[in-house]
Amino acid sequence: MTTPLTRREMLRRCSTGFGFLALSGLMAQKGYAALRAPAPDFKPRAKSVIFLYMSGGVSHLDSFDPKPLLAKMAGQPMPVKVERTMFNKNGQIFPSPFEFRNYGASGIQISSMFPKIAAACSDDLAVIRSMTSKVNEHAQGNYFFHTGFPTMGHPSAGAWINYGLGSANHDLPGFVVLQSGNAVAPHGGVGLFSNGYLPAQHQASIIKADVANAVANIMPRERDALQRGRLDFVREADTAFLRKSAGDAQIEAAVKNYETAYRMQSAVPELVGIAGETEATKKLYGIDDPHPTKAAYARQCLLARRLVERGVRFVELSCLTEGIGSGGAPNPWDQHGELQKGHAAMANQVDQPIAALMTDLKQRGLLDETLVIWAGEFGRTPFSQGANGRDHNPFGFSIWLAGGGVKGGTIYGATDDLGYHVVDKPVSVYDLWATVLHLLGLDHTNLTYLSGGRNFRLTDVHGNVIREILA
Amino acid sequence: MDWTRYADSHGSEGDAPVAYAWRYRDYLIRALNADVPYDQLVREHLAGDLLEAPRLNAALSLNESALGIGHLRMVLHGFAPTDALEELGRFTDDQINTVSKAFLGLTVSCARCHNHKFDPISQRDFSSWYGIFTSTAPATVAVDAPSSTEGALRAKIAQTKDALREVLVSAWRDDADTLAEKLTMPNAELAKAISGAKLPTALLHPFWRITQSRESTDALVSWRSVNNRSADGDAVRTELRHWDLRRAEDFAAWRHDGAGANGPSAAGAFAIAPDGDRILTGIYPAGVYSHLVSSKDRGVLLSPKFLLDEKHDLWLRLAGEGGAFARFVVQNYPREGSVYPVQKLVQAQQQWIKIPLEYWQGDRVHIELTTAADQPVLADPKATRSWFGLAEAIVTRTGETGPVGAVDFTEPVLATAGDREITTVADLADVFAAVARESLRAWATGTTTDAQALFLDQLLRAGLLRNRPDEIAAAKPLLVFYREREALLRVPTRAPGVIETGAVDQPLFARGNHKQPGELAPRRFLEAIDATPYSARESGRHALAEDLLRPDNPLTARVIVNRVWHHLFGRGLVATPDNFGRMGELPSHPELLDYLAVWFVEHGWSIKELVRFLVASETWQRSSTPPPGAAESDPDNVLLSHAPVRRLEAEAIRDALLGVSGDLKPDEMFGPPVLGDTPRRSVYLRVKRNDLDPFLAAFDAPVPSGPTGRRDVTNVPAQALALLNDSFVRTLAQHWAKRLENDPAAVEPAERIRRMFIEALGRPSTAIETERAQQFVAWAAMQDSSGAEATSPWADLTHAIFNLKEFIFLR
Repeated sequence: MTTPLTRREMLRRCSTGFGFLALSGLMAQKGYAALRAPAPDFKPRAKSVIFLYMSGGVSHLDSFDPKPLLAKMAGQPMPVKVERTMFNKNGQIFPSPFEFRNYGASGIQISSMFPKIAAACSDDLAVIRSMTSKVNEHAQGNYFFHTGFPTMGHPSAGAWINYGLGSANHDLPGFVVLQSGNAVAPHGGVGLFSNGYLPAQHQASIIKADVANAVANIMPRERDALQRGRLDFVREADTAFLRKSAGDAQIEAAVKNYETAYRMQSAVPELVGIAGETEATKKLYGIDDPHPTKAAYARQCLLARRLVERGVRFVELSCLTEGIGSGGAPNPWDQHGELQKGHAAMANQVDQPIAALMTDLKQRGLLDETLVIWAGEFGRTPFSQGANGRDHNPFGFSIWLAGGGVKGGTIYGATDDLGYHVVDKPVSVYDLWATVLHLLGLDHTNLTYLSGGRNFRLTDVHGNVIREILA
Repeated sequence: MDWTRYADSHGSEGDAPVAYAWRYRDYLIRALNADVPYDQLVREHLAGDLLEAPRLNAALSLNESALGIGHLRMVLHGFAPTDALEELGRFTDDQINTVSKAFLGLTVSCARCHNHKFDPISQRDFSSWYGIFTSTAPATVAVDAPSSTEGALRAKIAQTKDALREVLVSAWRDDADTLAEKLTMPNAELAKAISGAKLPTALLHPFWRITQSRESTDALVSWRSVNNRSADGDAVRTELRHWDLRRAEDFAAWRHDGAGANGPSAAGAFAIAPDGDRILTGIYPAGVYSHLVSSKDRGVLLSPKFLLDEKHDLWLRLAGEGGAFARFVVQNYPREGSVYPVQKLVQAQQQWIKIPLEYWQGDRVHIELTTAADQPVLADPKATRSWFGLAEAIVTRTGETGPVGAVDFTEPVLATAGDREITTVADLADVFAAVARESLRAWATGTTTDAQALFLDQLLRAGLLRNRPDEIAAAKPLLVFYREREALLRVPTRAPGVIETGAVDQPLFARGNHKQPGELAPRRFLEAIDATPYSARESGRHALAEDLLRPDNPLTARVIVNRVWHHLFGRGLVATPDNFGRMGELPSHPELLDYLAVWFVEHGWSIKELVRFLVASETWQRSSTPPPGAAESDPDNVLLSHAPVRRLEAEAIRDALLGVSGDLKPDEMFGPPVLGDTPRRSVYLRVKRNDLDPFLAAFDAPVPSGPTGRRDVTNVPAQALALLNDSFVRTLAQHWAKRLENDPAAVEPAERIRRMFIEALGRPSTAIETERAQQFVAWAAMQDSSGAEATSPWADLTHAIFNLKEFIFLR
């Protein structure tokens, strides 16, 4: 006697469980047959990357790069040449309204914006205080940071890494962008997460961490039995068509693709659901925090851990807007005005969830193999914009790395006493990605793809590994 | 459109529109339908606006050729870049990349920083092309065919204006004669105007002063002091550049486009109100105006480009209404942004405005004035009426006192009053009346001064000269005549394009760094073919077009023939259609490619002929079943032993869904872009770079960041999920089912199924398929649909058919 399969049983029997990507289908096509096997150039120190992108531009002067001189010169004009700014409403020197303290054995200075990160993991951080960008504007800055080029059309770092390493879990997408609440793609749009000229399976899948329809069209609009019946009908007809087409590989792949899609419909909600997490874990992240934006960001952080646990290569998180000082949904950290209020609110949104993520990764032994990157597209000016804001500053700003292969408790590079320009060990986006690729076991000069007659790289024709921050 | 990375917006923050981009898309559709020879299309894509004998479309009254350059504007633009020169480098590179790949199959932009690593393209080649494309400015252009009637209409309008001036002079003489009396004994309306004339910029301000003060004061005291200040200001100004556009010589140094703003006019020029209860819109001082014939006319006025070698301010004496635009343009950047301010003109009275340029020290800028529908990016297509007038443009050092002149109309009053203190209303009224009579006399004889024109304009606005048709009977028929003629003037047809701004050779940039200019590279073609420099007068676009087509250039014909082959067979004879260089693939059938290229040119560059020739071939007509042994000897079917199986392109899948459902409106062609839920062919969907249509994107419609000669054909679950769960697809399935359920010829289930297969797959269902489908419908009818979107069982079947692989694959 046969009994009809339940959906859960169906899933189990299909065993591979969950796969956005129908790799088999892609591999069957010409050009994709030579998918790079994961053959690292070096011994990898990390397997996955979590990219905490602080879109809009966090002020380094108020977070990780204390400048006492600003307080001494408060209200005075800048003593050096002021470069072109985005808004040209340049005021006088504007000291940080936040207080800095030394934390941990390393004594890294962190401002009162991030007390929980400071307490949880200051000795794990390698703070780069000499980050630079070539671009002074959000969309181009975002593209530059993500792809190494300031305009759309090039592959995102997450796509490059997946292309370089291959998938660690063929049932999961290798590159996931998380969103929740009011989060949207940064300025420049979803092209920031594109595969560019790389094969399509390397593009990001956007997963909404807090809604049922977490991936576009993932929710069936009919009862499962009906859909299953229709799929059976379709498969039977497709099988005949495939036979008539002499087993054409493209058609065969498209047929298989439907099984994958079907499985995803239940697998995605299961992945996004956090019912299995303990109350203690949820509390650690702040999943039920009364601040809705913080609770929403906490969900992304928790889901990020669940994804790297399952071998996802690259997870990017998206901040939510607090609606303060021209910080909109695509650029929530963009406090051209009301810097103190806006940065405090944004920091409150991400501080506990990020601290929790670091703690959780450590507890589970995942931090050793996960590289965490915290960065925005540029920093902010030491002089005010208008009364109480700061304009964009790409000439020197701070980011941090932690986890797999990173020497914690490190400070690398420096800006001048005003925090305006880099004066020591400038770091470019190319250097950053060269270092990230290195930690993943890849030589950035070897990771190339031929497009339009030219071999492209994530690091263009630049990039040096920052060895001093390597453990 | 893939080849020229068609898009309706520029991308980046704000994702500003490419104004009128769709007109270029419509141009391509018409051209391909009409089988315009390809060599002509190439010519038009480079220099369609410069052709001596453009291709005209009589039915639409269009200059089709001029539309071809639209793709030059489909570039990516950053938002408010603080380094404008870098932005210029980037978007010019984008133009070069597109032109060289689309037409030559060459990657010229690879030579931006150094000589090409693989192909005979030098950095000098890149720089010479860079000079060609930067010798233009982004613009909204007009693409109307010359009209046989418009000249006569304009002449009639000119005559009408002359006649109207005479009528007005005689009517207004009466007004001037009674002016003193009117001002001395003001009626309620005028009294109210006087009591509100607190500011010296008001015409009636001296009357306000007299009525306000108890003791006797000079009524003109504030006008006198303002006038003195203005004279002082003039004395300390360094006029680094001064264009006086009232003078023909200065105007000649500027570029202008459009029927309006095509030359200086003397003081006293006037415009007639095209509608409403006024006769005139205004009387103007000398300058360049866009609306003297009609405010429908477009005007584009561009100054020469100039270098800001120190810190400067820009002063413009201008007027305008209806949201015309005035701005300075840095390094050709066409968008608005924080440090790229734009003035929207809404004030009919001429004024001086100051625009600081200090920030842009070191960059090249030019001044741009356009009517509201004609700015390259901000154009408002619905703004059919607007105007601007520009008299002077002055560049000073930052911080210097600029010209004042907001009260220039006071000059004749002060001149007439002389040193005499005016302390009584009667005295003051006499002075005003005298000035009015003198100004009118000058206006009648064409000797008006700027100040007199401004004074008359003030009187007109204050209601002291009659300006309503029912007040001047003789003016009424002329006004009606004008309005009838004016209504017949065409609203210009606008399109994205560029305007020539004077040929300038550009330097080589050391390692591509725009901050390290080297020696100048003359504008010319690729030196591998011909290194002769182009004319010093034109940008060189026209010459470049001819060089692309010259018989000793082996690429252009081969590239297009290969593109057509790729389109038909799914794989080009050269498998890299955008790259015929060393890094591209070698042709699989080189002799065939040569043969077809020669054949194509001999057959008049006709794409339709070529398609007909190819699809009539034995190769094209082969079955898709591989012959025995083919899978082993030629697994990729490079030698075409059988027809390749191909998935439909994104647009074709969407069109097929719409077509089969019956929702498609195939006859609705052309026009502004629509969104994905509109039942029109996908070619008409909006291509907004930051918000690409998700359905088309899932099926590999390209991201418009550069030319795409060969699309990816991917197989990702998003495709299956869209066809399974997208509400748009489900709705179409329901519409299709309903249509056949209501069809009296398809009542019988087997017949209904047969029709479904014919409509969706182009063949009737087999007996087995019919039976299976019937079983499926019967089964679906019994299913519990509670808690889900209800559909009819027949819609369950149509939805299933949409999901058949046979629906999206061709074999």
